[in-house]
Amino acid sequence: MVSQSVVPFHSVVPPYLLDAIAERGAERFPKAAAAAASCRMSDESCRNLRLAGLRYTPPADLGRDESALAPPAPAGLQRLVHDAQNTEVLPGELVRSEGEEPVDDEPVNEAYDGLGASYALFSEVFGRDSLDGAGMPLMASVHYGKDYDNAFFDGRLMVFGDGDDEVFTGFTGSLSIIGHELSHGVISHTADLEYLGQPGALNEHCADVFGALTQQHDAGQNAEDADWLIGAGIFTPEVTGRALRSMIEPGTAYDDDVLGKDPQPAHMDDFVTTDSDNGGVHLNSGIPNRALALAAIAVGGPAWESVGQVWYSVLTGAEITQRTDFAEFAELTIAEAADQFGAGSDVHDAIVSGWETVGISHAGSARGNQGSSW
Amino acid sequence: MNEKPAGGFGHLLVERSGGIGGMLLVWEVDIDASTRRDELGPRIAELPWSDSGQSDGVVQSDDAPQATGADRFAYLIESRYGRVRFGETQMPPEWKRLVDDVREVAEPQRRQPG
Ligand SMILES: [Zn+2]
Repeated sequence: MVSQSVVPFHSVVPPYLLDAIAERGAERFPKAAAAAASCRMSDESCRNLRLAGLRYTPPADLGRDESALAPPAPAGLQRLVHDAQNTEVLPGELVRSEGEEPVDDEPVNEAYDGLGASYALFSEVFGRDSLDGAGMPLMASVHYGKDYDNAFFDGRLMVFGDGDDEVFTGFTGSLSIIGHELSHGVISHTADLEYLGQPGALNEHCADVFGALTQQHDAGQNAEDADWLIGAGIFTPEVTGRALRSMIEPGTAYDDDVLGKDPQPAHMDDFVTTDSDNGGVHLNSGIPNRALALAAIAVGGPAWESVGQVWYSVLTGAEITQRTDFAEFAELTIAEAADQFGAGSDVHDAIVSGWETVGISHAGSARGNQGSSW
Repeated sequence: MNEKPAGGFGHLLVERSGGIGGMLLVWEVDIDASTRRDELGPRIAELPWSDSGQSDGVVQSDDAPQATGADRFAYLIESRYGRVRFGETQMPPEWKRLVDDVREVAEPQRRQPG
């Protein structure tokens, strides 16, 4: 590992210098340029990064040939993994940049590899370069908080807690979770579905879809062979459960004395009306999740080549709005499937059938939806 | 307001929902029976219940907790003085301190949402 210097804490790097490093320093200061580019966005996380001191490679260290340490990264992929050091200050210390060797900290390497697999799905399958489609660096922070039982996307960063080691292990241990968080970044740059009620549940649904596809694409796995689980392996052995969610069988991911039973509904008849969780965004996502998983399995083969193409086109298309609901989303996917694969094609019919099975009819009316406040 | 109000300070409930797992945790304290009654009771009584977070009732889209990003926790805090909701990143320090204190004195209970 090449040693790095850290700009002293009190040395705040002015924005114009960040701009200069980002725009003109790529050749001499590749890591500093990547970090600076990621800092030019005026969000809270990056302000913190500036305040904490931009970590960069001084010219003396660049004299050593870093390109010999690791193969060159694919064009466009720029990963920056930080260590929040069990604080809630983001992003924390930059500990692994694009092309650097693995470090002696497994969550850092898991995040790095997971971001790479997620980037590969969007790049290779959908032709998308990063969250914004324009190659923005992928920033992650691990070791967030103390015993923090969560992973989230803060609008710029993908952030992962270590878990409490009683119920949850670390959240970087699941590729579907890393893919889920990165997908929130893609969603925020595309449909930007409002994080509330049915649009919020669709936001969660799409993050689950591309999280699951990240895992399947990385494994070269067909839809019928996939487990369709989100967060498999993040529970400790003490918990009776397989994962956080099952896309194919919502409501069956866990059933534990302490955790209770997985509360996700699998049908519009069981749609959950609640003020909690921004209107049950992580609950009602089970309904569209099941529709998609059923369709993917019915078609068979790599899901990213069939239903994945349809979902990505809808998510990034002109018709979806921030407040699209389940029925409207179903209509968009059915119309998109007809456009891409043909009306009456296997993909089209499987998607129609998937929505019908979960109680969302082709006619566009979502049965059981009347009771929702959202 | 250091005197115990008529009927006591009552119970304080903190509900945490959301997160990527969408799980619901509740911490509940009987303030009057708590060893920290003299500290927690007056603090709870003096918090700006009617001016903080989101008001009680169904949250509408226009005043929804537009959390920064996704998968953050959402909090509901309830006592005899009122009921408020906050996104994890939107909680003012005095409320966050209260939540931290309640989590210290009460065991979390997991509940089914909805
Ligand atoms: Zn999510």
